[in-house]
Amino acid sequence: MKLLHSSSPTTCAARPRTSLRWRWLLAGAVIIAALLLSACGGGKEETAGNGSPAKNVPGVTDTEIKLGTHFALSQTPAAAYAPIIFGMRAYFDYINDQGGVNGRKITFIIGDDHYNPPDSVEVVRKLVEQDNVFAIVGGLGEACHSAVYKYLEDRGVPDLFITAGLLKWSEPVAKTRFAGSVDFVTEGRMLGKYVVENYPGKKLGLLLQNDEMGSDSEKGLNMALEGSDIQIVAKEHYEAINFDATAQTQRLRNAGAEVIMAFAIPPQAASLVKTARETLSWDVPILVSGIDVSEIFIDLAGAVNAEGIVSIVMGHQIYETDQPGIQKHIEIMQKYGGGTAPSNFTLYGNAMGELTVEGLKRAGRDLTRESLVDAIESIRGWYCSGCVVPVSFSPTDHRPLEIEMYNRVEDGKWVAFGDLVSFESTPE
Amino acid sequence: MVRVLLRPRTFVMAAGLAVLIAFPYLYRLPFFDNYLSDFRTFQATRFAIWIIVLMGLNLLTGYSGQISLGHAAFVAVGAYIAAILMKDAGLPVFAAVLAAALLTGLLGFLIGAPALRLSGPYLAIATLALIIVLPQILKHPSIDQWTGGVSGIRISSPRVPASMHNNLDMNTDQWLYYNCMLAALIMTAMAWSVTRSRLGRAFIALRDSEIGAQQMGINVSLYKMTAFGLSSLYAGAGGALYLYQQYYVGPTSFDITFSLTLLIMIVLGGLASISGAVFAALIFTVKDDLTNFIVAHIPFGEKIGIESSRGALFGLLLIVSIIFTPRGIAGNLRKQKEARPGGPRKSRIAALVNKIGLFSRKEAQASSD
Repeated sequence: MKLLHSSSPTTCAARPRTSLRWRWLLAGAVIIAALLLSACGGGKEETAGNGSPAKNVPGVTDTEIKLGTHFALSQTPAAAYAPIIFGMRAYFDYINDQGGVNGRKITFIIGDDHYNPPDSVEVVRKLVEQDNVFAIVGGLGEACHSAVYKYLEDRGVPDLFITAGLLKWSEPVAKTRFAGSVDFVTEGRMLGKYVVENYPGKKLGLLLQNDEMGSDSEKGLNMALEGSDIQIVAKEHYEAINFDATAQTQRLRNAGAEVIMAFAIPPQAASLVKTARETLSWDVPILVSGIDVSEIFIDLAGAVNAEGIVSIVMGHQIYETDQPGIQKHIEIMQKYGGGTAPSNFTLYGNAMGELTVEGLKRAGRDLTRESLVDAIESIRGWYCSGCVVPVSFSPTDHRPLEIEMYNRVEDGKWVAFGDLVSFESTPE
Repeated sequence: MVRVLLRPRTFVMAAGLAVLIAFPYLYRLPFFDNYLSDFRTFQATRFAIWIIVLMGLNLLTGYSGQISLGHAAFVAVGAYIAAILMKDAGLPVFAAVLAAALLTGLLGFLIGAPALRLSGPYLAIATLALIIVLPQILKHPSIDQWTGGVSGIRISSPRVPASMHNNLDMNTDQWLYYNCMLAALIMTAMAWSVTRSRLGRAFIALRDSEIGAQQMGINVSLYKMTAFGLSSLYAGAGGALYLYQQYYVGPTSFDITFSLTLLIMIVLGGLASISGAVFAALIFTVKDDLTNFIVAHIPFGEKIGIESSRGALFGLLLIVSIIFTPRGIAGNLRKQKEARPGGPRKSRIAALVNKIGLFSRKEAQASSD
């Protein structure tokens, strides 16, 4: 009863609105129909007239090569790596001003994935399917790129110079995928070799990031330590989102470690160094990951504390301004950097940009995804402008960097010392 | 009955359904191919998944008034359970998703037991702890033979049934879209009927006054646990479908930021409203496209470093939208409706349900009021 009563006035009131809604619906239908009709008329011509005339290569026209990447630019501490990709973009802008690559200018689209794997998938699919990029260059993050690398492989999209050091990018070799920075396994082997040669019979303590960076580094280290008299007495893990490694450092000391190896990113590696030197007054030899060879690490740890810390690196430091390659990079950043200050990060981005351009150049005017892959595989003993070690690829080796040099902190600066350390798998 | 069929709302719903069905194929038509692609279908699939997750969160936060900051933990659990069931146990997708939803629901129900001794900010802190510890649990060496440890789990990509592929030329993205959208429709209908049932009214009573609800004879602890369990079930289903769509889940797939964003979205969309969850899912899906669009159209944006300030821009958008739509989008629409001359329009569907007699008379009457 109640229902009947209450509904009758509303139906009356609703009537004028109802006709209004019908009108809206009708208008909508007309608009959609009109759009459909106009599209049917014009759509065909457009697709025929657009694109490169001879063949249909995604992202490549007579005047343009479209490249894309996924990178953390905001909403995460990992946005600290953003200068890497700005350095790469500045280099592409510089190349475009020089006339481009084989007459084509590079358009570089950076998709912000907030260092969040689901967002990386979305960003990369958008780049490949909506923006039609020719290749992905320098995608950032172990977890982020893990979420997209199979997709890119399946689609046959070149996946170049990944800004993350996992061995799985290059082992097993996928035709279209090329690693970027030194993988953590090789890095672990290199640093392990240093320990075996310099600290025989000592007890080793490890600080590891609790993800694939840590597990890969440990794998490499174990390869180097095999058959030696070095004994691992303690393994401490940290979570990447937790910047403090004080407790881990104390436990390493309690376990009686005589040498410390920190496979850690700058905040945690610096925390370990600071705790050991300042809080514990512990003068233990410390080795850190290659990612820590930066101004940030020394600033965080304090120049006095960082003295004597050892790591590995591929090239010159940004403050070695007497090097022509470094001078050139600083000039490029000042002109094309859009306010990003030159740093070791921009320098690394610059190097990967140079490597990309080298590949595109070698592929020639007749650019396809296949010709690019072949061209990159043909690069042997090539040096980027700030590099000390050569880059070599082959059809069975998709790792650019397998040779590095040891660096040590002296007077608050990273300084190279000793011979190059090489695990190069490409034959001469 | 004929009158019901002729009503504009019936047409609007039919048109909506037609758009939902046609959407994945639209890009093959001229004109639409400029704007749509498999990628948009992929986004729409994700939209469907977020509808499910946010619908569940709305049942918990919007209807029963309990704040969960760690809801993403249940999404992750659902995804992992489904992954393990599909990969190690070889269960078919449908069974794996269903089992993941039910198991996650059960887990949520059990976690609800200690959590219900807490309320307000204390419950929020406890749930926050969930999402903080979960990645470490997933990476723990004792269970990493199932969870894949730091590498996560990758399942084989979904296979489109041959009949669909041959007859309808359906690709993986379209197949996923239909599956997830169907699930979203079913779960939405379920949420709709729950909120209009005895259970839903008990939730609302709990939210508005716990003591009052107790006096009405509502078992507070049981209903709180049920709300937790039900919303976890939704989260688990969403997580399982998410895995099905991505065929990958890792310990960092769902982090604190994601978890907090879920809560922000549901407030933006509209608390305690079915359409609110849909709006929330829509904003969640397009928020990056939106900020990208704005970033790209700010003159001289590159000079002022706008690219690194997307987060700040997004924050600004949040503040502005909360100022102008404090009750969320759905809440504001409802407010406008109520302000119209002649008062709020009664739900015809409720009347229809009453006619068919889906619920007991008493319940249906209450729902149409």
